Amino acid sequence: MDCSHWKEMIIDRLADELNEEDSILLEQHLAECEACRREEQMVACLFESACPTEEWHIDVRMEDALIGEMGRPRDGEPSAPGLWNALVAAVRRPLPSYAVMVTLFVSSLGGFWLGRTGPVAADRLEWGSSAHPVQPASRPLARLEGKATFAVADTEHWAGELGFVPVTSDVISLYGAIPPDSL
Amino acid sequence: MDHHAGPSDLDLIQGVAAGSEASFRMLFRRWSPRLGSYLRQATGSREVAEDLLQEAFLRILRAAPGFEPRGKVSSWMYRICTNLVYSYWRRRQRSPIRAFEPRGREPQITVPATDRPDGRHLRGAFSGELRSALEHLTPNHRTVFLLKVERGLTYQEIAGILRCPEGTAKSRFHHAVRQLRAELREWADGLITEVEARGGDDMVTRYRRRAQRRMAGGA
Repeated sequence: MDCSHWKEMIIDRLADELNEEDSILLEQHLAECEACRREEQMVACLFESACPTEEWHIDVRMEDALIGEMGRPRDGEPSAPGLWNALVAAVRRPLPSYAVMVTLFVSSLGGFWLGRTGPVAADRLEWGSSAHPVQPASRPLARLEGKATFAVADTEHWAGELGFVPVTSDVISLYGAIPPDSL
Repeated sequence: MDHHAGPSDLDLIQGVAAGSEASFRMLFRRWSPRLGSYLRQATGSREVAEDLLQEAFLRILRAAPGFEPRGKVSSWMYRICTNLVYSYWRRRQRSPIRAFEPRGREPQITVPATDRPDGRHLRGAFSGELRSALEHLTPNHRTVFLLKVERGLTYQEIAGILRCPEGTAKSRFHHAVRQLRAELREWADGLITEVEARGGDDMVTRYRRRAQRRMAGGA
C-alpha cells in the first residue's frame, strides 16, 4: 500500500494545517495502518524536539540600552541634514517635485541665456524705452566722491574697452545699488 | 498573531516612529521572548541570539518611521530576524571556527530507562542530533521548518515573512521534514520505543500539549 499521500497529510495535521474533512479521513486511515501510526509518532517526535525547552526572559538591560539609542543618529550619520542628505531626499521625492525642479532648472538656464545676451552697446541704449525705463541722472560721475568714484570710474573704463554698457551713475542708480538721491 | 490586550502592534510601531519610549518598551516586552527564542533555535546559541535580538530591535527602532502598514508588523519583525539569521549563517560558513559545533552521538542512549524516568536525556540527545541535521538543510528549508515548528506560524504567515507563495512555504516545509525524518529515523525510533515502554503519553500527545502551551504562553 502506498501511503505517501497520507504521510503528507500527517505532516500537515501535526502542523495544524489540515482541514476537518481530511483530518477525519486521515484518522480512519491511521486506525488501520500501523506504518502510518508509526510515521505520525516519528514526525511528532521531530516536532516536539524542535520546540524550545526553556523560556526566553525579557532582558531589561537590553531594553534600557535600546531606549538609549532612540533619537541617536547612526554611526557616520550627520546629526543635522546636510547638503548630501538634502540631495538624496530630493531625488527620492515623487514626480511633482521633479516637475518643480525641472521648471526651476529650465528657468535658470533661460535667465543665464538672457544674462549673456542682455548687455548692449551704450550707443544703442534708448533711455525711457522698455529696456531702460529710467532716465539717466543729470548729475555727472564727478559728483561721486572718494573710493566710490574710483571704483565706478575704473569699471567704466574697462566696460568701455570691452564694448559693454559703461557703468555709470545712471546704471548704478538704475539697478538700485546706490540710491539716486545719494549721487 | 496580533491578538494582544492593549494597543495593537501597528499602534506600537507608530508610537515608536513618533519617539514614544513607552511604545517601544511595550513592543520589546511583547516580542523579545518570541523573537529571542526563534533566534536561539536558529543559531543554536543563546549568546549569539542575544546579540542578534539587540540588532533586530535596533533595526526595528530605526526602520519604524518608514514602516508601511501593508503587511503584519509581526511578519516584518520576523523578516528582520530571519535576515539577521541568514547573515549569521553566511558569516559562520566562511569562518574557519564554527560558533556552534553539532554534538556527536551521546552515550546516554544506552543508560537504562529506570535511571532517567522522564526520558529527558533522550530528548536532549535527540535535540542535539536534530540541530546537526538542521545544519544539512538549505537556509530556506531550515528557516521554514523553524518558523513552522518552533514558532507555530501558518504557511500564510511564513509566506509573508519570506515573501514567497504559500505553496512554496508548504513544499519547503514538507521537504525539510522528509529530509530530517530520513536522517533521524534511527534516533526517533529509539526515543519512541522508550516512551512507549514507559507507558506514558505518546509523542503525538506530547507534541500537541507542548504546542498548546507555546500558543498560550506566546513564547
